Amino acid sequence: MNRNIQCDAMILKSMRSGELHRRLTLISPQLGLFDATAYGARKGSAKLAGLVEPFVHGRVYAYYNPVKQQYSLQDIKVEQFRESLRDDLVDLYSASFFAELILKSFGSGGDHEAVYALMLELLDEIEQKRDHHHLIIQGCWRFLHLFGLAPDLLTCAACGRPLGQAIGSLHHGEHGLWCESCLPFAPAGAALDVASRRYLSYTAELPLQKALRVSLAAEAARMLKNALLHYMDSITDGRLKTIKSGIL
Amino acid sequence: MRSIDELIRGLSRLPGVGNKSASRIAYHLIQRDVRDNHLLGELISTIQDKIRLCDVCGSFTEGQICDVCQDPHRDHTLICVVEQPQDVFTIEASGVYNGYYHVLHGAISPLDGIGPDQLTIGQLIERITTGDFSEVILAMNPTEEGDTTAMYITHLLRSSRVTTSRLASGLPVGGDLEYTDKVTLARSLRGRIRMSDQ
Repeated sequence: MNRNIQCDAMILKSMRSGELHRRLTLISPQLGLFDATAYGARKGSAKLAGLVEPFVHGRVYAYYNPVKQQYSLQDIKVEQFRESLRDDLVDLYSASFFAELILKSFGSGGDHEAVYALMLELLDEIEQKRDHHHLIIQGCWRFLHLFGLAPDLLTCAACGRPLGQAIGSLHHGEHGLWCESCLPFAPAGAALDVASRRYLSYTAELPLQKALRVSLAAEAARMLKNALLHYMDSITDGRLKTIKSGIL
Repeated sequence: MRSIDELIRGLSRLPGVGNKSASRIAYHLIQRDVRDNHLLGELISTIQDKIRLCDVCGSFTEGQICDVCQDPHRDHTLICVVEQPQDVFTIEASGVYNGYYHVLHGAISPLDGIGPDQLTIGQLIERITTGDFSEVILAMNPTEEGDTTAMYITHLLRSSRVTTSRLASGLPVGGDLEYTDKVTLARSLRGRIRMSDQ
């Protein structure tokens, strides 16, 4: 077994460990989610100091200890540092929200290559200062497809009838939208009107960059974003700290 | 022996003390004068009752207001914002700063659920708007959390009369350019000092 590992990876979380080290959680197209310790990374003179920050991605060199079943980070050849995310609180929270989604969904169910590629694309678009409502909507919708939890936008999840022009109510428990006649039996959910559903189904097939250019009225975008955030929060059992802040 | 094992386990929970150091300390404690052990035990058990947070800056103090905040000879136009109370003592040890402090008790960290509301940013803004400060020095750690917190405070203060500055980050004194990582080097270049002006 090769103990020295090289792979592309992105740091999703970096926390203090002991006096001098940092404990990292990374996502890699090859290894999926994995934890690694960057020993001595909190020392100013350390080689890894300043490099082991969230959203840094590049070529990672790690050593795997099969006895302790632990990775230790040896080096990282940084491709992008993403320093501009620190300039804006909403940008940082948007990026952290997507990172938290990956962490709390344990790597979004296994398609690590797609998750990694989506995260890179989303961070690029955040850095391009795209409208953050649209970014959250598109990010959530694409993650839902990766999770296999994207709801059917055309039919009621309870009775199976077409939703047509009616407002649908999005519920995690039933993995879908409920029509108005089934609503009295439904728990509280987030309302999705026909325009929002059309927007979602149209943009789902487009590349992210193009999808972000499709316009949606500001109020509709805000409501759709809130509906999807609520849905994401319920999928992860209300554990998303980035949503609770209210900054998104 | 159960009591020694428990002591080693307890000591190894302290920061910077591993198992080996903990056992070395434990055996030293067994062998030394019992009065010293009693004194140390009393100091440890009463420290949390004696030390509290300063009502003004949030740093550690034994009274209601810390020595720094009570000192009238300090530069009342300068306020230095730090993440933790221990950072105050680190900056004081440098001997080059003579202004006042404000402790945030953390930094913005979205994944840990620490937002601006969990920090003492509100109190800081109030101190700045009601005080005589003309410069706010943001001395947060040069990490993602520290940088974001600094940027957020700068954003809040952009319409006020005070100037905000950030501690410089770059090459360590006595360091070697060859071994500097590219992020630090990039920051050093961006924050370079014009020698001809000095």
